[in-house]
Amino acid sequence: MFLKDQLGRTTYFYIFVTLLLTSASCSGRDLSTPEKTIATYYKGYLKGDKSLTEATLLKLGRLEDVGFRPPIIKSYRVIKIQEVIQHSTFAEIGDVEVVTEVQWKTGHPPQQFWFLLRKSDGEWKIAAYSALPGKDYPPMP
Amino acid sequence: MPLQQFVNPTGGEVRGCDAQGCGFYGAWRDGGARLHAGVDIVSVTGQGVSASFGGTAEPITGTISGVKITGGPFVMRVLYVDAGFTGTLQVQAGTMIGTAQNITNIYPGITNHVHAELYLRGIGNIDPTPFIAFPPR
Repeated sequence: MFLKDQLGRTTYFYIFVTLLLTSASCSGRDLSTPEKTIATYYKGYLKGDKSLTEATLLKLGRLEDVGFRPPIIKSYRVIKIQEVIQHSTFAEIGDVEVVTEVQWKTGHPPQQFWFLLRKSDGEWKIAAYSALPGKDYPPMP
Repeated sequence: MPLQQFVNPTGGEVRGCDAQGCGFYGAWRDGGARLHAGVDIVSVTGQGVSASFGGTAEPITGTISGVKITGGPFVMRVLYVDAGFTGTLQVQAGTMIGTAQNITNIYPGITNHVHAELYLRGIGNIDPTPFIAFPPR
């Protein structure tokens, strides 16, 4: 009887873990590396899946609906990635900075963005981000 | 002593985070080179924007337009606003000073908002968030 209970519990545990992994994989959520977190962030915008993008943010408050339905990002590429080696007001040693360039569906010129990623509970999450000013984009106040 | 309560210029909430960044005081700007010196307050394009407190209002022109209000120890700059007057204007809290712009034309994926930046004489830039009455969430 005891052995049967144990086997039952073990089976349920494996089913639970399998479902959990399958669900994470199906949702497209992968925060295992800084690059994959950025990919997950943009996958949310590309698919119009706000909760997917939200899952990549580390304590940044609520994410607005704008930009998801209809999706406004056409594509993105990572143009720079580097580890933080010096403390600053907001960055810690070991954080990773990523710069991306986004192509918009709206017809706006390409735009660059900066992200600061931090490892938290085994996952890489976005601790800070902002637009980068450029010739087509005046600095935001 | 309770903080002085200012009129919310649009009646909107603090802008959360969107594709262009976040709207709270101290959010990162320009790749972390500087921090957000104001609070972004959600607006609807063309809606009236109110003076937060009484004083003298004057338009701000340039790349980003808005209205500057000087009253008592405070100075507030409200940006992304088309001023509804020229020269200077004596205002009271709640007086309409202009209309909110559509900034999604400039920054795709942004939440339309006005930017409110507050200065206290003798101190400098301070967080306006605790002074402004925001709608309950």
